[in-house]
Amino acid sequence: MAASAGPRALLAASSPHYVYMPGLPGAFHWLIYVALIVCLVVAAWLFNRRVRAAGVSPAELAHGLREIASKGPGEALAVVGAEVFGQRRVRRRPYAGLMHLLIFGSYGMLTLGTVLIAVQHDFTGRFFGVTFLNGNFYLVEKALLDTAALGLLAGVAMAAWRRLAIRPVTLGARPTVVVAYAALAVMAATGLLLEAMRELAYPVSWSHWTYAGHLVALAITPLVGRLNLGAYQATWVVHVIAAFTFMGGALATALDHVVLVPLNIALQSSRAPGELRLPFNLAELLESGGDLEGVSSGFANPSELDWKRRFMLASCVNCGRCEEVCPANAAGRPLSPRKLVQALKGDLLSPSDGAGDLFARGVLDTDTVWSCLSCGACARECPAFIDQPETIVEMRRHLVEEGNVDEAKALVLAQLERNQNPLGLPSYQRFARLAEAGVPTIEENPGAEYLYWVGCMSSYDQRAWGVAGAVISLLRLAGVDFAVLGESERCLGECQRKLGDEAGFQMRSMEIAETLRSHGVTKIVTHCPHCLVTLGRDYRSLGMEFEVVHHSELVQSLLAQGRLPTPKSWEGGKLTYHDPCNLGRLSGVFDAPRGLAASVAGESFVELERSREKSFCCGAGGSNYFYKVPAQESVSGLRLGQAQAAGASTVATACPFCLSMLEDAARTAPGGQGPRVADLAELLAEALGLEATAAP
Amino acid sequence: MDLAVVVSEAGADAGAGVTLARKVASRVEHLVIALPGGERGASPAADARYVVELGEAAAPEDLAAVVSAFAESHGAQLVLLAAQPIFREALPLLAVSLGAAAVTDATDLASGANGLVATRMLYGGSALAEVAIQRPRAVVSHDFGGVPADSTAEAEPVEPTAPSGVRKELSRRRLPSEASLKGARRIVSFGRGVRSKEDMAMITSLAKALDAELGCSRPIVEDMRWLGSDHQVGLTGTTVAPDLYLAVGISGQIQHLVGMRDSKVIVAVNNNPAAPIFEVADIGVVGDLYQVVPSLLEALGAAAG
Amino acid sequence: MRILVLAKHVPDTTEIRFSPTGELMVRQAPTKVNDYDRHALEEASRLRESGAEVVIASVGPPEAAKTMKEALAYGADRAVLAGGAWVADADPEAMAEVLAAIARRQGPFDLVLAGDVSEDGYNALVPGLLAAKLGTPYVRGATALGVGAASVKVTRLIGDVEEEVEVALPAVISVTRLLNSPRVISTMAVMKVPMSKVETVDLGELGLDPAAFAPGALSTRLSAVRPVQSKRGNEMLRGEPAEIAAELAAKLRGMGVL
Ligand SMILES: Cc1cc2nc3c(=O)[nH]c(=O)nc-3n(C[C@H](O)[C@H](O)[C@H](O)COP(=O)(O)OP(=O)(O)OC[C@H]3O[C@@H](n4cnc5c(N)ncnc54)[C@H](O)[C@@H]3O)c2cc1C
Ligand code: SF4
Ligand code: SF4
Repeated sequence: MAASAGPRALLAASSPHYVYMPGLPGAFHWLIYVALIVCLVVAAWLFNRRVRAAGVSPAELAHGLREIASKGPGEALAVVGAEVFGQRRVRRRPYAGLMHLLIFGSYGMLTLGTVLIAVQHDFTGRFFGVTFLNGNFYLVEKALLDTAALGLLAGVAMAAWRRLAIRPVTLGARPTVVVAYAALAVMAATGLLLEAMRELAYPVSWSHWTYAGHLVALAITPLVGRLNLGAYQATWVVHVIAAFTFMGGALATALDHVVLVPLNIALQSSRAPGELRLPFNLAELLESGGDLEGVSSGFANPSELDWKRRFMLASCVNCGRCEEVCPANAAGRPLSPRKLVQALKGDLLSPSDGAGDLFARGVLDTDTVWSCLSCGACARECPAFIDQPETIVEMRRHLVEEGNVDEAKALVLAQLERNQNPLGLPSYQRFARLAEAGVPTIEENPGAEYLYWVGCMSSYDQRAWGVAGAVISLLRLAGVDFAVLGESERCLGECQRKLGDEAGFQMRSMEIAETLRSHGVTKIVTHCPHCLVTLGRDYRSLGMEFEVVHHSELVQSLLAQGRLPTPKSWEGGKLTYHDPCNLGRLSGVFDAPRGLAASVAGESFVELERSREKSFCCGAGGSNYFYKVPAQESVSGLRLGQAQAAGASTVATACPFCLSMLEDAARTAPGGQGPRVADLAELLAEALGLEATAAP
Repeated sequence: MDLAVVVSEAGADAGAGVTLARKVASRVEHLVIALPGGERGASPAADARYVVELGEAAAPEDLAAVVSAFAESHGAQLVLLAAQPIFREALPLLAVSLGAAAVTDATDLASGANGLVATRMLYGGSALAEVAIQRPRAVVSHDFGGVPADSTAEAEPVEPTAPSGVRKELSRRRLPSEASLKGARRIVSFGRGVRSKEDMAMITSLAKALDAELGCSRPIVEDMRWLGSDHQVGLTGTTVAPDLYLAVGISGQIQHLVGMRDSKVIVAVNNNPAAPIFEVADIGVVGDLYQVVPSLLEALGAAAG
Repeated sequence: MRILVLAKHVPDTTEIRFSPTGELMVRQAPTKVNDYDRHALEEASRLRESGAEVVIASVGPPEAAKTMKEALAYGADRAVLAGGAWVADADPEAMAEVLAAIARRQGPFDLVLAGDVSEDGYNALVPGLLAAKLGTPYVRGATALGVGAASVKVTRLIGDVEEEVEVALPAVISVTRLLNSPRVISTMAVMKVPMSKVETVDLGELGLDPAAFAPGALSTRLSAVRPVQSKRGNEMLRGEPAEIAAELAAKLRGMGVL
């Protein structure tokens, strides 16, 4: 076509524009389409096989996507855009992130370049005589495509280096992956070679724009004599075969994530961090008088998960990012979220023999699921949007339903039922301390603006009394109109839910919501982030709305409004702040506590390396406060060590559980007493010279 | 009331039983259950003394039959049993065969306007109840204190009834006493007040002297690793409720307290008078454990020797 | 094999207290299956897995029906709850009488299992009284059970002596907490038990004379309940180590804990 029709001079003289397949017989054009169709059919077949292996039917998948579309795909698209095209999470790792960006970005650009050609040649040009691959646009595009080809080569080189030389435990050089990477490399290399050959055979005046091809052209000029049309055409064929091999075959390799991951991200995009799905809504079930027989929560085997979650597990790329940030793993507990997901995925794709649940079959150990702190660090890192902590809670739910839990956990659940607190102390002692301090109950102060939710820790733990005391002193000083529930306050059931007793939790939530409503409560302040997420997010998902703020937010706004004075001096040395998981990563409250810390310590405030969204759990999350799991080190000790490494002499936190854990770690810190640990409210009250109400 | 029969095992002092029975009865007879050929001294404080020989593995049915026949023939209105395992098992059978009211673990007895009134604990020891007996006869158990008997007072033999053969003994063995905090009657527990592993010896001797199990706070298990986790008392350890809990060098954080606060008697040794452990202690010893523990060992040794 | 398990509805003792005016506040306390009975339920449920039929029997107020659901969740075929106004005053003897009537009417049973004691009254009487009324052997304190076709082997701990005895069936065995670790019963498991599995009966239906259960006709009656001074002594000893040690030893001896 072009090659046979147009003389060289013509090409050289005209302005920059795209020339369609010079030097190739016209039949090739159609061959590409045939190959494309074959390739798409193969890919579709592979995709179908892949998805079905996870027990998901393409129809379900399509349904799921339609559902997202009908609900308004904006959010899903934004998340997929940020994660897939923006590579938000993938980028967090330097080497793998760069490698991934090079391969993904370059491949995407090259594909786009090819699509543009097809669009111009077979659509806009053919039917409307419109061409756009002309002029400056065309030149820039060419330069970019050359860059992409180089990028792809670099990316594949990095991948090869990683798999062959760095060899992280999670990766091996499986032959299928090698083929896929080789196809990519061949495709990029032959692309440049073709460009060079074309330049030599059909020189154009803008060839320096295709700089990489131009360099190759310079390199192969000495061979030019021996170049003939046959070699050119053969290279072209190799190029096309490589491209289609990758496109058609990637799904048969570990690179199948290119399809699975974006789909999974779309499917999981609407979930809030740390949110647990409702396996049932007890209130509705009871109201409808429905049969409870088939109702269950949790899963005994991954095969019985709903398709979305099977698809989720199948999307794991075994990258190990979760494992890297997991505090349980760091402490040498028998838990790696990566291995856990991989074990479930493996069992899903090819179930192991044996009868019984996944624990009986040895897929996982029960200690593994009890080791999780529900801290959400892994889920935040996972580039495939896998929700490890939720998956773990669902296995706990199964264990609880089966009655297969040890005495320590059984005791916590029993004590919650009996004493309305996980510590097993009498419910009637809950309010004793605050009653003595004259804190008004909601009966005494009906219509109070805020209900102060004290929580179990500050009702019973002598150390945590100080936190409630400080909060109350601050609220009083600022003239906030508040009241407490008093003896009718009881555990909100955060630990119960994390232990897996979902029905018990929902039952409790209905009763508590009823108590709150009967007092007309709408606004709640709490100093416990566990209470915050439970009353705020969890109760909302059950249809019970309350406006809940953390004391750090309220106190910070009181400071900002001038209702609390700013303290003057700070002598506590370097102050750092530990982000409680439930407050930071899982509720998004980062700035208010920092504002508080800054107003207390001013310039002496230092950030921890793992702060904000990257915070490292204190060790109490996921109900781990109440039982032991085998471990090499204590999670709280590790966290305290990080604070010590930052040179902190005071560690501020904003959660009574973190306070208890870190203080305990400080008490037994190697080399004697560690840093002081205190709640932000305590530090502020102290700096303002306030007596903490009801302090021990 | 005319006659009460106090029943106890040979070798154990029944004085407390006789004293209690005397509060409500004008005549008190003592029936001793002895092993064939074994010790047989009875309480000198009783008005009359009897002894019956039963095999070591006698079924409660056999015991009940003997005592029932005795009480019946002597016309006793009250049978007061020592609160020991063999009597606990026989008590209900005895009550049914005598058509008597049954009361276990009475802490006191009194003659009320309408008859006998027993006092006993209710609801895990949080309440004391008065139980009015509405039958002409009562079978009651009471803790005689487990003091060894040094009496040689003679007792008149009573013929046992024919063995019922209801129960066949298959095996019987004395268990090597192994550390088990749960169910222990006495526990000596220590914490970080003990400075080194070597100093633990002092605590173990104290435990031995008191015939107590060894407990500890969490740091001893998790940070010092001096003891296994089966010794840890508290929230993430074992929950215990012994008769005596002696806490040495333990500060008494809530996580420890929830594991031992139901103990009957709590004694704390700590050199910090503000230690929270003192708030739950019946007796607090303010002092250096390195002085108090050796002195205590001496005081106990002196009494024993 | 047919097994009868006795399971009592009890208030949680950790939540019982006296009002400032000295009244016992039991009603507000949460209720549950007596902890010791859970071990009997667990054992029965394991025996049921190898084919036994398990019936639960209880004497309790109407609220006990909820507790029966909890007991049934361990795995039992049905529960019989005897109730009526008389329950409030029933003493162990009266309860045993009613349970004996259930055992006879719904029997014969090969084995009756129960907890050694109930947490509220701590009488440790009902299983023994029941055995005496039924005329069957009674063994208390089981730490292990071997149930055969015609007899049961019971291991138990008396002080530091472990003995194993064998009695013929039918028999009444009461068990300790060392017997097994009862499974956890989740809220959902309790909710799933249909109320239809709980049969409620009154004295008439059991062929018993209500007059015999009038408060004045019972063998014992609670005439008064008063609080135990539960506050700790908080007695502080200070001074010369030797002196306080001697004082401490004397005090402990006086308290009867040495
Ligand atoms: C989630 C969680 C769970 C926990 N679970 C448990 C648990 O199950 N069990 C448990 O015990 N702890 C538990 N803890 C730990 C608990 O908070 C305390 O840290 C621990 O009980 C303290 O142990 P301790 O009293 O030995 O040490 P410390 O608190 O250091 O107390 C040592 C005491 O010894 C006294 N002392 C020092 N020298 C002497 C001397 N020469 N003579 C006399 N007294 C002396 C001191 O005054 C001090 O009171 C838990 C903590 C957390 C956060
Ligand atoms: S939630 Fe936290 S502890 Fe649990 S697996 Fe993830 S990172 Fe590990
Ligand atoms: S779960 Fe996510 S983060 Fe963990 S290995 Fe799999 S893909 Fe990576």
